[in-house]
Amino acid sequence: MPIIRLESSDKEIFDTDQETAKCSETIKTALEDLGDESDNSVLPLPNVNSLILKKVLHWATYHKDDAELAEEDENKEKRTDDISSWDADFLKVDQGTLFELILAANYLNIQGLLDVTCKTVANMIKGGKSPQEIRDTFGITNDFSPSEEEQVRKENEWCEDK
Amino acid sequence: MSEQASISNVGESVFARNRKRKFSGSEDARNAEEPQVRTPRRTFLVLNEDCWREILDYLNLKDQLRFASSNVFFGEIFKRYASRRYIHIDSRKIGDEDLKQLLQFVGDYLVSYESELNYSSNGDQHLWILRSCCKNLENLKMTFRRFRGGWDDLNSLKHLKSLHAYLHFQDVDKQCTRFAQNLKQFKCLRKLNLEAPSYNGRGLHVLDKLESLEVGYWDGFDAESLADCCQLMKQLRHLDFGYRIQNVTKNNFDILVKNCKQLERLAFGVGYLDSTVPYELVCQLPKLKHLKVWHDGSVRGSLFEGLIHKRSSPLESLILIGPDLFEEQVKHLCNIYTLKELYVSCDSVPLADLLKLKNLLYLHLSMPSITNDELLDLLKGLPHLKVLNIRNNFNIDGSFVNRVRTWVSEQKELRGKIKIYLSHNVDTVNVEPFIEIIRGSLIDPILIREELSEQIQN
Repeated sequence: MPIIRLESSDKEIFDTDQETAKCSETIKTALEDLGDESDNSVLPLPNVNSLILKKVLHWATYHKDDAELAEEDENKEKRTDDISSWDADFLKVDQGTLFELILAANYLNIQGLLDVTCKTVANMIKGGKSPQEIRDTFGITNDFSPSEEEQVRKENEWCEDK
Repeated sequence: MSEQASISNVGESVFARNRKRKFSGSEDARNAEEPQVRTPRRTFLVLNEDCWREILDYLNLKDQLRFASSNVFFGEIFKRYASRRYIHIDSRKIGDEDLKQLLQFVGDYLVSYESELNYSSNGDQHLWILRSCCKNLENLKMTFRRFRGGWDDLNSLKHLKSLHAYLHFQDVDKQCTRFAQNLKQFKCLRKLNLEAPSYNGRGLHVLDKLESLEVGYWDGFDAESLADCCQLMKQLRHLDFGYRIQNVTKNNFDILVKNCKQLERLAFGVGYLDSTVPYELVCQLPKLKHLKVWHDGSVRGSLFEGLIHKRSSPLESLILIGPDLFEEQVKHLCNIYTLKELYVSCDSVPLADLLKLKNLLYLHLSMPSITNDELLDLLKGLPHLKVLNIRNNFNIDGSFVNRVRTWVSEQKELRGKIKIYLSHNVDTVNVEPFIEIIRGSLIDPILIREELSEQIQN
């Protein structure tokens, strides 16, 4: 089976099989463009570092035999409670890694990985969390200034008068 | 006000004032200017707009708004998302507080806004938000109840192209007339659907730039006003004057044919008309392509005859709304070979005649006696069919689905997708690869509405 060689942004080379690599539409297209020249050549992935590429390949290896995703009805509210236990365990990572995985999945065009990582972040936000709880989740502050809050109060009074 | 509500409102409103504080025109969230983002941990800053859109797609509106209200940066992310995702808002599906917030986030990107149309709706109370935040609004559907000396809020929406208004004023004649005349100042307005119980239509004719007018669904609109509109609205391409206008005479049809040369779509009722009114005059409209007629069980043969021999633009859709027609009448209209859409009711099934309509794309039938065999023959015999909408199909049963399966499996060439709506007896099922059977029925015709919206938007 042909080996595909991928180079991360920090110049580490990863060997993988074609089926795994082709989970990525970006890599698949690049290989098709290269044709026969793809043998033994290294495909650079300048937007993905070695830590993240390793995780992506781990995910792709596990999911390479998955059936193609069916198109979802845009009008339906998308589910986030259907993450498999393997994926849930795989995504028990710090927020920085999770966001890097989303970015890599988007860049490499791996829809399945993008879906599951975005669902994971969505689950961190949804469920009726207050703005303060969302700030706590992401470790950020309320950066609206007191004067902004005061101005809004005044506007709201005016709204009520209408 | 609760703390949560207070914070939410801060988020929403800060946007309106903070445009200078946003991401300096870049599409990438990572390029946010440093002073604008006052967050200590920023791992999420790696994500670009596409990624945030994927995430936000998984949240319902309430969660999205809470997210947006938690932090200036997140608010900016949501604002960009909302400016694409929520350009058409149906306020009937959104709570009042959420609606106010959302409108402020979407702002000038809002294209269409719909609210409830009935006498108890207070949708017009949100006009002030539309005025202050959504000045580029093009399509508005709203009930107007409050007068308060004028319509300053409405008048601020200078880009309105389409208005569907339900008027519920205390002084109907005076205020409805003023409302109609006030619309003259909307230079872009091309489409008006006016629902105004008891309004006689005075003053409406001044809207001479309209291309589409729908009136007459409520009692009160009079034939004289209709004549005024037809005389002055020379650019009308779509006219629906409903079925409730009293005293429509030959003169009305004469004026219509003489003045509305651009008319492509016409809808009217014949039930209230005096038997001598020659409504078949409409066949002389040179550009008429779509005709909808409300009837009380009979349509004059001369109308069909006129449509069969119609010159210039051929008729593409004939929508006949009313009780069953006689079989002879349906046979007669089946000689309009150019039809792409037909909507008709009949107590028998003139199959051979229906099969003459080879150009049909959309066929809507209420024929209670239609059988499995006849329905299958229609499917086989009309090669361009996209929608077959059968109401009152009491004689169709589950074996029809098996017959369709067998027929589909025998097909050597793929046809386009066909949707079959059946109001009774059969459950929704896909017959791969090209037939979808749906339990239910379509109420509205297709072409006359689709083409209208496309042309108005263009």
